[in-house]
Amino acid sequence: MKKLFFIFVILGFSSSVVAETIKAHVPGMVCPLCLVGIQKQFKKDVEDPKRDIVLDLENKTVTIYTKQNISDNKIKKKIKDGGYKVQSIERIPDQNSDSDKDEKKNKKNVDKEEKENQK
Amino acid sequence: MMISSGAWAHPVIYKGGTVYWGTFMPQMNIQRLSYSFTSSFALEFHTQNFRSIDSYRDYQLGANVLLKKWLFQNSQGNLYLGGYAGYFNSNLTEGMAYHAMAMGDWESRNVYTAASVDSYFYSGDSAFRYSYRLGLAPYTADMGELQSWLVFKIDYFKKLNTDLMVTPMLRFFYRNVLWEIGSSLSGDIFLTLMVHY
Repeated sequence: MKKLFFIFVILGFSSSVVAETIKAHVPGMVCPLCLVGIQKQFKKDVEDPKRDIVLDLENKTVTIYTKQNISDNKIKKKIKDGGYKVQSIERIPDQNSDSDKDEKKNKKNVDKEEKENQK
Repeated sequence: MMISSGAWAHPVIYKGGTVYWGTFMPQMNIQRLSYSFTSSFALEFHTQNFRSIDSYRDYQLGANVLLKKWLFQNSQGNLYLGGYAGYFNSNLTEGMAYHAMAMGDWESRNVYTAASVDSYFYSGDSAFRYSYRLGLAPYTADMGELQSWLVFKIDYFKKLNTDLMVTPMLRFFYRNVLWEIGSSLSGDIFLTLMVHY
């Protein structure tokens, strides 16, 4: 029974979205005032817009730290709504996200349970 | 007699974006409120007051369209059209008034340039205004930092047959607020406030 419980917990966590860093390359980003629009489009996809949306005018990148599952098409659409066009998108899964930690912790518990059952 | 163009601004911004901008001088003021439904279409309401043209004042509603946007690695260019209609009154008469606008700009992080033509039609009369701006940023600012520009603005208002008017000014923006302060060579103070939200 306990084993089943932990399996459900793991399934629950694995269906939740893993945090990731999305880096979009956006040429033509030159005006800080205009970029308020890009921030606004991603506002609902992050916990703290000021912290989680980073606009780098020097390197022309929009970096978003999010736990939401945002598809490439959705990113392109949001940046288009912000008045720009995406050149490329990089995705970097966050190894230290809370959900990853929880997942690892739960996996350890299942292993422990299995060992106890075998005994 | 001093008539100048409004603040340099993108007539269409981002989807869901609202802009207020006001330009104030002794002989005129222009106030605009616009809402962008998409990144290429906006509705705008504005009121313009030219005291030196028989105290002309209008209230107009219209649309702005981004016709073309060029995105380069370190710069961008835009081409806009606008059309507005509404009511005007002056010391002499009143009635329907129409206004059409075409504007092009190009900007990088250090340089921007913009040119516009505005045409006004009211009570069987017409007027044309030509404006050009060149801005230089002494340093590049990132998001959340104060950005400063030195701007030279040249205006010609055909209706008044004035000479070219040159207005040097300082332009600043911080987060979603832009403000400009300048003075024409004949000493008229020029103020602008613009807020994006």
